[in-house]
Amino acid sequence: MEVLCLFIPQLPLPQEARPEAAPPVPDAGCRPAFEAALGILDRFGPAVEASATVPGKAFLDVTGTRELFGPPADLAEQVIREVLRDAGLRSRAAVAGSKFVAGVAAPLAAAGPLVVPAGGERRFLAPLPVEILPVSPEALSWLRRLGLRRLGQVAALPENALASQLGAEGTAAHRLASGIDREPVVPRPRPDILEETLSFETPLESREALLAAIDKLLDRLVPRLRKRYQVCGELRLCFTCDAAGSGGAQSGAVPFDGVRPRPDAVNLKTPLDSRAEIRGILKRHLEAAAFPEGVSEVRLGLARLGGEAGRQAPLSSATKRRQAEALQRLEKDLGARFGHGSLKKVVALDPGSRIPERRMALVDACAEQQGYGGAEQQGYGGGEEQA
Amino acid sequence: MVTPLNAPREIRVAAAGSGGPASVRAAGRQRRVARISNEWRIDDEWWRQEISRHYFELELGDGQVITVFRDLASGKWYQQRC
Repeated sequence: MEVLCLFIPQLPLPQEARPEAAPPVPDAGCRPAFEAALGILDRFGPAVEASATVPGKAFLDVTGTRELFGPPADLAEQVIREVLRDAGLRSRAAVAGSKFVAGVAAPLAAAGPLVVPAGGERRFLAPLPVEILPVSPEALSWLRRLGLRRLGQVAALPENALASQLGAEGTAAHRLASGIDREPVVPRPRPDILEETLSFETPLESREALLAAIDKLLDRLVPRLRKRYQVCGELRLCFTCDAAGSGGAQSGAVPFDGVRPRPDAVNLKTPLDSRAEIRGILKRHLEAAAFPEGVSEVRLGLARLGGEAGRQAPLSSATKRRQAEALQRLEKDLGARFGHGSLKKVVALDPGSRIPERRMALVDACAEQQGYGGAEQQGYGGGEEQA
Repeated sequence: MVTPLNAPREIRVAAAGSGGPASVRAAGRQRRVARISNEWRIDDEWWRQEISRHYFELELGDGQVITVFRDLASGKWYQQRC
């Protein structure tokens, strides 16, 4: 895991907020400015978390983004630049293998982005004071009574010694002081619907015109959806019609309700982010539904938003079957040529491990399905990587 | 069977007086260490077969960067990506 922490030392307060009255919580009046900074972090990855305890601090999971944004230092530079340019905020940034280390490093990065290399966490933390550990005042007082002032001293103690005195808090303190923190970046909650509306002075009279309006709405909505790295599971479409003679508005073929889930909203079998596929579904729906005449407003909502994990390829699809058959053929051919078990699969064993060879491993492709947890690991000294 | 990826590979290292690497034998030839850009220790799993390593991130004379470590139990040197 690689985590970028952004720290904004001085968030602007709203004019009505007096400094002495400003409560020390992250949701103070500075929230809009901070939200703008979070929106900028969204450009670099889908998992952005605002710190629950420190105002102006946010985390971004940057695992696997090197191909897109270059080395961590370049990425951090770019984030700082864009936060200054687009939100007008001076910030500091650090990248490390965990939230805790990145969170500690960011406020210290006054001279420029700070990158703590993998495996160097313990060394980086060693000279820092124990007060930065997120432990109770009682635990902190116990550490001080023992003369432990620096994290390096805490890390040098046996873990079980701390655990026996402080329980789970001691274990956590020892791990953090050693640079071990497997806490994931938890994406912040966002509104569960994206919606856009188009109004027309001259009511629309044909399906083609309605479809053109839907196209315009999709042009606005789909990029927003993709920018959030999300997919939608439900489409909500609403036509507002000028009822002939009455002048009032009434719902059209597919009523829209932004609050309550409607049974006639379009539920998608597979969550989507493809403009073409969403358009196709709406077009079919439009053709099947009773067409309202004189539509003065079209509102489209993309709802039940979720992460990419929500996208599920149908198990019975021909593509899936063809892939499985091709894989079986390949395994058979490789088995005949190189012997049984020649097809391997890369799996993550312990991605956060400080010991590099414990992070990833190769397992037999067929054994992977049967479970490999109890398998014996090979020692090092001549281990060859295979593919 | 589980085969760890990125297993350490034994490497020949000539140590300087300070204990850090002065030159390494990589790609079939002896190469001078221009700079030690980072170093750190990993001490772990003392409850079973203890792992005690001193890692060095090295810049070689031709600008290549490699990471090596000295296994403090056996005294042997290994190369590994970090």
